[in-house]
Amino acid sequence: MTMGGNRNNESILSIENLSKTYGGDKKAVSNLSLNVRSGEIHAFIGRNGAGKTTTLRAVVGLMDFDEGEITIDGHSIRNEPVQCKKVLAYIPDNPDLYDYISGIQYLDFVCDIYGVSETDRRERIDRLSSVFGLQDDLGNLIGSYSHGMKQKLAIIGALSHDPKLLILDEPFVGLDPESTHSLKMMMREMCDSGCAVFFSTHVLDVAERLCDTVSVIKSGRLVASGGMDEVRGDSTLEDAFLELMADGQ
Amino acid sequence: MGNDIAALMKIQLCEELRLGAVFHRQSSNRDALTYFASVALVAALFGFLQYMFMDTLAQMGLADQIPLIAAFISVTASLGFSFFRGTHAFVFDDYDFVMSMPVSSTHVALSRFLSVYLVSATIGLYLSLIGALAMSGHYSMGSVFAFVAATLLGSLIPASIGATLGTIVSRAGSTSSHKGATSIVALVAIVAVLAVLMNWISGEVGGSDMIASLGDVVPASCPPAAWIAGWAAWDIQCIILLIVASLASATAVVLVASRCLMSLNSRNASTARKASAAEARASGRLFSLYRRDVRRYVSSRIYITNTAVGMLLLVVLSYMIAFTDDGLDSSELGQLMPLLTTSMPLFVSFFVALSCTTSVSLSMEGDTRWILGSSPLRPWDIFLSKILVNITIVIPLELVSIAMLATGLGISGVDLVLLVVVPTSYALFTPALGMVMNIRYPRYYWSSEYYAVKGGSVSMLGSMGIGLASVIVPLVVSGMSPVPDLTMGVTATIILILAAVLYLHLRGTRLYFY
Repeated sequence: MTMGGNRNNESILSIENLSKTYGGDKKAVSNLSLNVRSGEIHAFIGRNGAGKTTTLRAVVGLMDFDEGEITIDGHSIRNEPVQCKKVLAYIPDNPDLYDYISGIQYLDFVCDIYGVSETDRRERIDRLSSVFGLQDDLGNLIGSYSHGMKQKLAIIGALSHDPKLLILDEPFVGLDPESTHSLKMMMREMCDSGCAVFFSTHVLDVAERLCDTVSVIKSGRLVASGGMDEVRGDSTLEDAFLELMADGQ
Repeated sequence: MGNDIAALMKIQLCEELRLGAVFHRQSSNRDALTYFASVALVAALFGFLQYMFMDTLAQMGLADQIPLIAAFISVTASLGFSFFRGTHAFVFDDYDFVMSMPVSSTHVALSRFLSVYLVSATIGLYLSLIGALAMSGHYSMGSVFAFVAATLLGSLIPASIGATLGTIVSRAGSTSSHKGATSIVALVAIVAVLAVLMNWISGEVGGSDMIASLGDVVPASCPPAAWIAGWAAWDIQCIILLIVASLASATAVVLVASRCLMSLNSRNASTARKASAAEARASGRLFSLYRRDVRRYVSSRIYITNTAVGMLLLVVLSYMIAFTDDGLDSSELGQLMPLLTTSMPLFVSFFVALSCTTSVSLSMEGDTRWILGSSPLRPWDIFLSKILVNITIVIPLELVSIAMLATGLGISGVDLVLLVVVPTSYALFTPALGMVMNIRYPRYYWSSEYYAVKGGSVSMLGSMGIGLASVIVPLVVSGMSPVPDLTMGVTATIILILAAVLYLHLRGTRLYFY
């Protein structure tokens, strides 16, 4: 994969004192701060309803937030959303796609929005569709795809424009083992080349083996953040997580 | 046998009439009240209009035509509703689920046909009761009851025709990625054929006096209506024809549908095709967005029918006004010409104001809105693309209608300029208004496009209401104005200024999808 841009160990994503409240009284995220550096795979873990998806949506610019600041590659998501979104790719959990167009039409659409040249997009689509086993299905309507195929197509679309920051919400749910392995390899390759990956997951053993850094969120607040060894200490990530969830319950 | 047919019908009607959502949502009491109040209001309005029409016929000395006309209205309305219900009578999304149950295809076909018949019979019964009310002053109670009973039986015929045509249209659309547009084209083709047929029949049978020749035109163009009216007059031949035709058509439809259910609901394998990365083509950002929005539009039948039918109606009416010489003779036309040419720009603008695709365009993004929201697009790019789709649909059809009206009515000079400028100003204003309304009142959470379009009624009705008010007010003012041309010019100017304000507002709008 061709890489470019600023790929040193600087912070590519900086979240400072992020707060978001729904409906006037339900505080989904409270005073959350964390950094993701270039070259890092950063796991974001927490219970259901802890505030992970809210945080990710705020980072990507899908949702406004009440307090704090989010900067991506030095640009504010609030004031310069287009500059921020140019360098990131986002895949939600259960990614719904456009059922009324074919796979290749979707990829063309994504590449057009991100300004990917024809030569680059053909090379990347060819390679990525082979890796994820979708090369024979690109001509079919997305409406005929299974859930796993849609997920793979969303991943191909996200990687086709060579993002600096990949933001994923539960990326491994619904993927077959081969595609899960391919995605993990791809994430590692990207980060070795200077990109960053920030993803939420409930699969703690994958996070433990794959990630460099981890942040744990509980009831909208960050309860732990740092290197993997630092957060888990002498125990496993699962034990450390359960202990954090139990504290002050 | 009866149990599974009844159970299947119950599920279908709950789904079709949205009764499940009405009665089982948290706000069910309020929703049920709103739902039934809306239905009652529409029914009362149509019933009142029909009764007034029947009463007018009686005052004109045409009381003997009342059963025939009432039957015609009933059959035609039943046909229309049956057609829309029929589009998912025998081609349906939950085919796999239904057929996995221990039910025969005959029972499934019968239950689905009966669901269509229930809609047809309900509409037919309601309208026949209005007709019966109008008849009661001029006919015996025996004839009135016979009329109502005949309508109930005769509703099998429009149900059969509606289910058949609906299935053809639905199947034609289901094999295409442009299923919405394909279905609409098939529908327009069917309506065009029927219109030509009706025009030919009325020309052959009717003659120039439309009202006086109703007694000849209706039986020729709608035999079931004649049979129903004949039953009310105890005509044995009509009674036998109605019984035979009703039962035969229903039986034929159910038998054929039960044999064809599998093939109707099987995916057409030829729609699958190979494509490779070599087919990838670069396009400009705005064009790519616009092309995606066009594809979205033509993929959805309900999106098209709720937003473009106004323009299709304008084209048809423009043709009829300009080129058909039924009704008005040249002396009457000469007297009406100043009024016609003065009001024509707003007549066209009325249909333009009805045709707003943007009022639900954001809602239609639904669960896929994360794609646009996370892409490096300015909100203005997203809005502009959707507005361009609206303009693409409206302006060509508007210009075709204007050309027909100008040619047929001999409109030229200043009147022609106004005929172009005024509707075009609305064509620019309406999508901007719809976009503003949908930003303010989006509806992203839906499981069916029906909810996105119909459920987005605040946005759609709001923009439609404001749009129509913006046409009706100038229409009234120009009617009273000594210089109607000046009023039209001022109207166009005001509308263009309002459009400019809305576009400026849109340029500065932030857009968050959650």
